[in-house]
Amino acid sequence: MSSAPHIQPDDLTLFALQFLPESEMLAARQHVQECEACRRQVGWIQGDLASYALSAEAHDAPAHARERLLAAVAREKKVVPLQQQSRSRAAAAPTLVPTRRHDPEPDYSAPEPRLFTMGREEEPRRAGFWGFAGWAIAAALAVAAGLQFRQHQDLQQQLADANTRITAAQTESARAEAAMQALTGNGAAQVALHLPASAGSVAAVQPYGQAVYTANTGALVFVASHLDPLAPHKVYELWLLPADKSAPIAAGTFKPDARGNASVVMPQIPKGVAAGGFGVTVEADGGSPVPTSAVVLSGA
Amino acid sequence: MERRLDEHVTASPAIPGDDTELLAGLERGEDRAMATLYDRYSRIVYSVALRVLRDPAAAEDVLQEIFMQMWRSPQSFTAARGSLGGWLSVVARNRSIDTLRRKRPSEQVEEIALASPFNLADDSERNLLMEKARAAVVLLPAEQRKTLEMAFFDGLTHSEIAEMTGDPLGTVKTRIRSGLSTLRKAFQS
Repeated sequence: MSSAPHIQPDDLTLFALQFLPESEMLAARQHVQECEACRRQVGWIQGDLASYALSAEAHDAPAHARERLLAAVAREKKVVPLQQQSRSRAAAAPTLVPTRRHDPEPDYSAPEPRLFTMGREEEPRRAGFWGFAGWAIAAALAVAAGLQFRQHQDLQQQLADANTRITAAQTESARAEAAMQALTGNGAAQVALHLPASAGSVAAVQPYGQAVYTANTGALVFVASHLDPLAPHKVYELWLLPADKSAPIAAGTFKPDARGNASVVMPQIPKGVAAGGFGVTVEADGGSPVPTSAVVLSGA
Repeated sequence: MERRLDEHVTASPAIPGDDTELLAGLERGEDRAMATLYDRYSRIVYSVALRVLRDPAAAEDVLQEIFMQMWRSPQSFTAARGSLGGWLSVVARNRSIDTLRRKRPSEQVEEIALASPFNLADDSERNLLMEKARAAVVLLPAEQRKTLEMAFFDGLTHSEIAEMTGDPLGTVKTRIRSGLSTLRKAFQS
């Protein structure tokens, strides 16, 4: 709890709109971090701004924006340590409630003593040379501190980006090695995937796939050719069909190139699952947790 | 074989529920969670960015930037900040204004939890609120409506608005706050 005087409601609104000058912004931010009452008020103002934002005329983003985003996400695949996985799963349990339906609203209209002002409407006080020099030095120090803070943030961001790139490169290397083992290992099983008999296709060149799978390591490499082009916002999804006849396991999504070729290399699937076969369906972009359409390729 | 897979085919995909769960999915690197969040909120984010920037390409860049930031640092978008949809709409506005002014992204204000009684994760509630917001804005007094629009969507500061309209600075500040306060009452009624 801050012992400093509260910020005036008008100025809190300007703070939420990011309209305060840098120096006042820093002071206000510090106060808001320490003062629960002001922080709650800013939270409500942000909520009001969010409601106002909804008044913007609605437009759907261009269709290609979704593909662009998912492609960028695929390029930046994450490596998540097992410990973090279990932590985040635990966090997904019922502990967080994203909305607050019954929060009491702070009373904006209640008069508050104007003890804290943001200073820009006050008459400037006249000061002597030393007073001016003191303010000038303080301002220079504040600017220098602000610049240093920015530089520090930039360096932190650069470091984080570099770490991300290194992690991505290490992941790719590990995947390539595992893929090689999957293709050449003793326990590797090969499964050919064809059009289901029920498809009734009479095309001269039919789609075809080949999966190489090692159960104990969960290593899987799948290649396909002569695939039909997909409708917009659709992907092919590969499924591992467990030998114990339990539910299919999603084994990655893919899109064919212009010649109908595609591959899935080392998707994230559980280890030690004996495969009874593989199948391919067409799903919405981003894939589906369960198959939702007819099988286009299958093999056992 | 196809019968075995077909046995598991469902009429509609089981989309995981709330935003907290989806953000946890992002932390686990699940691109499916990203796709669901995009489908849920891209319209709001893009609409706000387009309204501020008036340039589809620039608005799309802001959209990509925000969702990639969410993918890279989902913990900074945790549900502890309140309504994710509401928070994204405010972030979309702030990023767009930064773009407009060619400023570095500012995150000072966005660290504060947003208090909103609305659940934008629900499609029908989201669409209803968008309609309600437009109706409420139309009913605002003309000065409040114009001042709020200039401040929020055009990114003009209170000083710039005062200079452009010739109104006193204090009046502009009060109009912005009163406009938001009136909106809140309209939403609660």
